[in-house]
Amino acid sequence: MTLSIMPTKLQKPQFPPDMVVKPETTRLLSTAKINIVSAQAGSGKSTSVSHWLSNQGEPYIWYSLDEWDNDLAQFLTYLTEGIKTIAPEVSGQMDQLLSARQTIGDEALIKSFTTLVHNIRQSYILVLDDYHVINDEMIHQMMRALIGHFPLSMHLCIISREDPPFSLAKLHSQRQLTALRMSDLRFTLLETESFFSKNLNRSLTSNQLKYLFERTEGWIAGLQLTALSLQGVEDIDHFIADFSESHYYIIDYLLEEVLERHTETIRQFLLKSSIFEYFSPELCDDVLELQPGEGEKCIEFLLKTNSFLITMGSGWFRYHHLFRELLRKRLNLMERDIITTIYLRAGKWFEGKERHQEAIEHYLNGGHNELAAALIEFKWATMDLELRSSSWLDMANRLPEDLIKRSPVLSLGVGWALLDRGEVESCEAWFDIAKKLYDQWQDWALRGDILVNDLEEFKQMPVTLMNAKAYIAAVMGDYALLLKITKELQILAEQHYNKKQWVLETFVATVHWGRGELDEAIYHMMRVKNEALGPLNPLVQNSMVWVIAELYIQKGQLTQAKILLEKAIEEVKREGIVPILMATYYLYLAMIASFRGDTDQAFGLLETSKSYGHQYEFMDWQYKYYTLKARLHIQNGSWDLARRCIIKGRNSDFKNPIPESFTIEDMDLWLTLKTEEDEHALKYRIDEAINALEPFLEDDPSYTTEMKWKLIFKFAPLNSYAAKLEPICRILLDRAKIQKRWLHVIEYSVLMMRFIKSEAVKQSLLSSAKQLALDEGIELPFVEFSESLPISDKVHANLSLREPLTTRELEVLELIEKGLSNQEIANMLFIALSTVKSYNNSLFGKLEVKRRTEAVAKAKTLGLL
Amino acid sequence: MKYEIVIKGYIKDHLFEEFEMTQQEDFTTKLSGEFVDQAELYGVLRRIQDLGIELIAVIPV
Repeated sequence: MTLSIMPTKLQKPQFPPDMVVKPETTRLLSTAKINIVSAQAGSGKSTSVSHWLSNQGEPYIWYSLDEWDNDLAQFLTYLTEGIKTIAPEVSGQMDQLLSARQTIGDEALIKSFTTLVHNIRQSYILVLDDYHVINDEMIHQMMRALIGHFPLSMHLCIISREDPPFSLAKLHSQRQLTALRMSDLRFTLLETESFFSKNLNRSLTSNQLKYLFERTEGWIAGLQLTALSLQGVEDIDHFIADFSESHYYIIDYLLEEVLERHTETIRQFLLKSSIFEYFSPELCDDVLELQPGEGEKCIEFLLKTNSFLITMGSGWFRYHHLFRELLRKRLNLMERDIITTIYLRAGKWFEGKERHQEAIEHYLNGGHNELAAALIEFKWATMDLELRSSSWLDMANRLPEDLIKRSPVLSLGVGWALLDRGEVESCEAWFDIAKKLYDQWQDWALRGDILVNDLEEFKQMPVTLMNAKAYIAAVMGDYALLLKITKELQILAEQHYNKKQWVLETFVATVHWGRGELDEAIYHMMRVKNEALGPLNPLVQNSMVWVIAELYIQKGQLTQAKILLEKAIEEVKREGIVPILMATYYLYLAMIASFRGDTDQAFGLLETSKSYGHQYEFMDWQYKYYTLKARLHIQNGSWDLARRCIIKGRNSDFKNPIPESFTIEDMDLWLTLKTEEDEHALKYRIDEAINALEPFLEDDPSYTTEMKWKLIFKFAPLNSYAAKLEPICRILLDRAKIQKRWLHVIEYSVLMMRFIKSEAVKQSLLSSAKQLALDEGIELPFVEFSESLPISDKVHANLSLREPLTTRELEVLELIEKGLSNQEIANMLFIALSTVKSYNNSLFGKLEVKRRTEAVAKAKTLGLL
Repeated sequence: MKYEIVIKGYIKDHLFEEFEMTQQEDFTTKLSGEFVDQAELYGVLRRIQDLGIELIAVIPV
């Protein structure tokens, strides 16, 4: 885990022991699995929950939220840290998941994290205090996911000043939720009486009590402040008379009373220390320039007098939010100079302790923007590595824009953060600013007021800027540009001793891949995977497995891909690694099965993939899943199912810098061409497809358009297109041969047969393709790309079945009709006898018959034979 | 856009310096001011809530 944790945020606040708590609230909290405690500031929410926790037996996690927690990674990091005490193993797996955040994506992270929360067996209570500060939609989504599939072992308690943005009506009606609101927390007259008798060492008359109860409306903050103001008051009736004449907001009035009664030392301490969210005696002595030990004395005094001070443990304290808010307002009435000095000292103190978030906050509050900017600049490199660029951007955006525009590193950071969000256009303006400032800095005379703090990052800027360009080129699929940039990058990176050499290496691999040079791509990806260029995060390393497997498959080295994937699956199972990548691994196994012509096995493996994908999902898994499934359905002639997959695949589209060998758009084209019955319309479609590709046809067709060309070769009516297409098909066949992409060589050989008239040449193409296919058991190209016929009545008949027969089942059926025995069919199709029997059973089921003879008869009446 | 926000009780000036503040006879306070957008309005409402002050009305004028 890379994010630092402030332990105080995970400690249950300790309230004074003589605090009065309504017994009713404790009972209510234990009645349902989900509690929402929602009421205004100072109504005793945290006190009630804290009291309840202390009086029950289950372990709990208390998480005090603040503005900084509006960041999914930070939020989940704290949860993970909290869970460590409850279920260390699950917490360890969550750690793995978080360190892999960059390769998973937020949506998938939420899904996988929720699954892990369900793995906690020990029952426990999770308290999220001050949830109203959260406005990050991803965190809300995480909580909705959790509440939607609520874990059995969890008891959730959300404390907030306003109702959280979840729909709770259903939970309410199912009695799974209790809400504790102002009406439950407000003190009754009786409770008010017992409160004062505990907190004042004198008694009040019933009239006095009644007045104070009515004036405060049983609001606990009001009562507490009243008790505080009454300390040292001689004439209570007089106090009440003044109180009732004032129509000021009760807290405002009482605070003034309290401050007036305190000594100057305490008054100053209260006001000045209100700038801290959390404070320790040492911090106060130093920042407020007190005599050593004075901070501790003040804190002790305030604790003794019940002055809204809450103990956080480990020697840290905080004020009640409401009280602090009012003190801060009053502090602002002091001289501006005094205030900015305190903020400056506070910023320095926290910076010295390397608590940068707090330091930045104090610098910003005191108007010390350049100091804040320097720290924010230093944070960029680490936060970018942790993929928290969007949180970094929120922080940077608090600086004045003209300040950012004076700092090359900050401008660069803003550009990167925008690029991470996919805002390609707006990021380039920031990169330009960064570049301009960088160049200007090189000339002493031009430096002017340019701000450079993080020299290390500044020196790397040319490499970082070039990396950004490379990334944009890869996403846009502009491999010519990417190649050019990569070459420049290599030189630059060497000059600058750049540490992220492996990123560059993946760009090099991508360039080769985009040009169909798969061997070279494999070589470079292997170097990255084997950490030849420095250590990798385990998940990045594991995700190289599927990247390399995909490359092997595109090459036609199916066995090698399969061994690689099976080894990775075995390792996940053996080592108990979080199975984030399993869905993707099984997907590629399904792809291998489909290239081997085993559609049934492919569907089976896809099912396994889906069962993992439901729990843990990796980046573009869903997109890939629907693309492959659409292809399988097209092979089977299940047009409707294929169409549905295409729609779903489009909805889960994912921009990936890695070249795809077949896309969802390819599947759409395939389906369109295959189902087009009208010849004129077919020609129109073919023209349209060719026109879309031709602008790119300056040299040879690019590698990523090859699947579209294959489809055009397969479906274009020969009489009008043969002359045009034959040379292109030949070029692609030759290129595949030179690049040793055997799968593609087979595919183009089969496709080429359409354009050849001589039977002898056709046969030789076919037999050399079959020869190539033999070792790896490749079958699919012969099914997919061999001479296509117009849709026959047979296909129509098959499609009218509730569940159409697969290609293999139809084959078996035809052989049964010819009178072959099961053993003979097995021999003929080179499959096991048991496999034939299972095909029989499945096709009997689909035809709703029991015997071979019945099947043949039924098939004939249906028009299948 | 201009809004008037009415809250319960009287408050000291320093709590919401940027607004024109009127103490009304019914012991409520009216805060009037110009807002850039809805986000700014919600920010002020959040501050009122943070202080535990009771909100009575928000009126566009």
